[in-house]
Amino acid sequence: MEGSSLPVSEAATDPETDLIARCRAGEASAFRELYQLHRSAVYGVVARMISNEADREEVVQDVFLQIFKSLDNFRGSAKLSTWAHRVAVNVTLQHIRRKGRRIKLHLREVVPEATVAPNGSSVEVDSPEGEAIRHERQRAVERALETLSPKKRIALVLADFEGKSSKEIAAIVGAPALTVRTRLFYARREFYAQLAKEPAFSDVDLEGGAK
Amino acid sequence: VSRCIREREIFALLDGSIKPRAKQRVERHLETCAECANRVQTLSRLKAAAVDALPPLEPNWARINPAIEHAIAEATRRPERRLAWAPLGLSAAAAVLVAIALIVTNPPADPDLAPIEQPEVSSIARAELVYEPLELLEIRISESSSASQGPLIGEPIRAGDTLTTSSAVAVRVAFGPRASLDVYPNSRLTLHSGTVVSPSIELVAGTSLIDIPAGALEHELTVLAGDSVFTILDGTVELTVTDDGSIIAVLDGAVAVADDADRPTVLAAGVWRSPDRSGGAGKAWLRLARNELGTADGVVAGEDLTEREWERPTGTLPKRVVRETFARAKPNLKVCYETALKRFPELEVSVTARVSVGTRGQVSKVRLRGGERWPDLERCISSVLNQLSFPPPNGGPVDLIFPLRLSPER
Repeated sequence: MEGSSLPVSEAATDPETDLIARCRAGEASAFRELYQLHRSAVYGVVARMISNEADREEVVQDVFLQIFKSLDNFRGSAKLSTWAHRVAVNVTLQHIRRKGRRIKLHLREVVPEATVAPNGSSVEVDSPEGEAIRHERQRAVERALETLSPKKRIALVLADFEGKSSKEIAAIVGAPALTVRTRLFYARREFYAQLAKEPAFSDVDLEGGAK
Repeated sequence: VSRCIREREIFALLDGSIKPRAKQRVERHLETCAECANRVQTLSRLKAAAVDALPPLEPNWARINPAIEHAIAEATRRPERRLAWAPLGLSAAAAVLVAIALIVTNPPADPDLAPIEQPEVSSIARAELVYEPLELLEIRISESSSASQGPLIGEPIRAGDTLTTSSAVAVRVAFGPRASLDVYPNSRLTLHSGTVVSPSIELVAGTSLIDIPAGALEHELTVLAGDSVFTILDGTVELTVTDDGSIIAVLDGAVAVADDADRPTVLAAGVWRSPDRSGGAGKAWLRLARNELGTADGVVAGEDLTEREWERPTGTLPKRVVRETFARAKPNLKVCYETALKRFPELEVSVTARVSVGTRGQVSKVRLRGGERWPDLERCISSVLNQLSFPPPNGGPVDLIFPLRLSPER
């Protein structure tokens, strides 16, 4: 359904260039198209870095806000998808950094009763029910990811969860491929060592050992 | 007996990045070493199980889409206000040159300075120099081609023009002790300075201009990071606001000290205010400098904050809409607070914001109480709230009150 079903050709006609030109011309439908094409990929990156659903949504919104605002600067040296990934990574890291600095902004809005229509808001709560083991494993993976520094985490997420090569990751995070490979190595070492210690993954270890 | 496999090789084997020769060796070793084979197996299973453990993503687009629609509406509205950095090349060079021309209008040129002449170039080149930060730097253009006319404003640099910049204003703050200029074909720059040391490390600076409309009393300016790999180690963003060419305010940008994977989104924000409250057109220059390789990208966005006509609040807005709209401002409000925390690490403050929403849903006025001692913070919060956009309220304008409690997490 999403962008993945439409292979974007890099041929001379280059629909990407056309799309960007239309965005720059202020065509709202072009912005929507761009969003539709890249939203799943952006969400994927953000979601693997941030576990809180509300935070994820906020960050995804921020990513597109940023993409729309800086589209004029996109010079086409990278593919649009790489650039979108890069913005996603940067906004996500920024978010994590802010959270990591343990800064919390308490916002209570008190809207004067007289000026507010009485239709109440509904709060949607995700209820992650299901197989206990998978849930445990999910928690364990998230915990292990959280122990990594943001840079290592993003490298690991892009490599092992998104299947990107170190070269692609380098283009996304804007670091030399060698640096990325080093980060990735340490990230994997820490991550899988941590995972192996988790009770939820103990049987995985045993299966491996039994072979 | 071959040596056991290194961890690095196992990872490379599992993600397929291992080189063919190493792969052959590893595979041969695995046939004979049960311990290594076991390590590879375990890691491989662990990796598969980890990927498997994360549930398929089910984004709730319905919750995300409204904000995107809002962003699209913003992005397609008044596109002329979204000025991009000129790409590095002809126009960027022109922008840099022209910036210096504009910022420095009454040069106190020192005739004693020994000129250091830049040889004439036949293609775009970069002149680089290192000088003492507190010294005067004078740049004289003895020849220039038509290409050096700035595309952003209609003030060409002509042959014979002398541009001087004093470190106290532009150079020290914006450039640090190094500067570079792009030199056009058939142009000649003569650089005068008592303390130019040598051509040195590259630094690329960008400049962008935003016009402040006639009659404006206040104008908010925001600098956003652009497309490039944005590396600031110790940079400063300087927002130089000029009115008829003279500097009336230098707004220090809030610049994150970032490393290679981090890039600040909003680099700087400030509000231009009409000096005598008479209103009137002005020009705001933005100069961005870095001390690392890279191109200068950024966007300057401006929003007219000129006071609108006072509207009496009579309408209503659904609470859900208010909450959702306000939620969009949260990230930027956090940035405001974090910026203030850099200066006042212990800052904890309650600010009450009264946001007046006009009949079309636009924010017509923001008034703040409680943050008077931190004008930069107030200014930042105010500019964030001013950018909110609500659906048209029922029955006329609305006043909304948001108490903001800004405190570090304990």
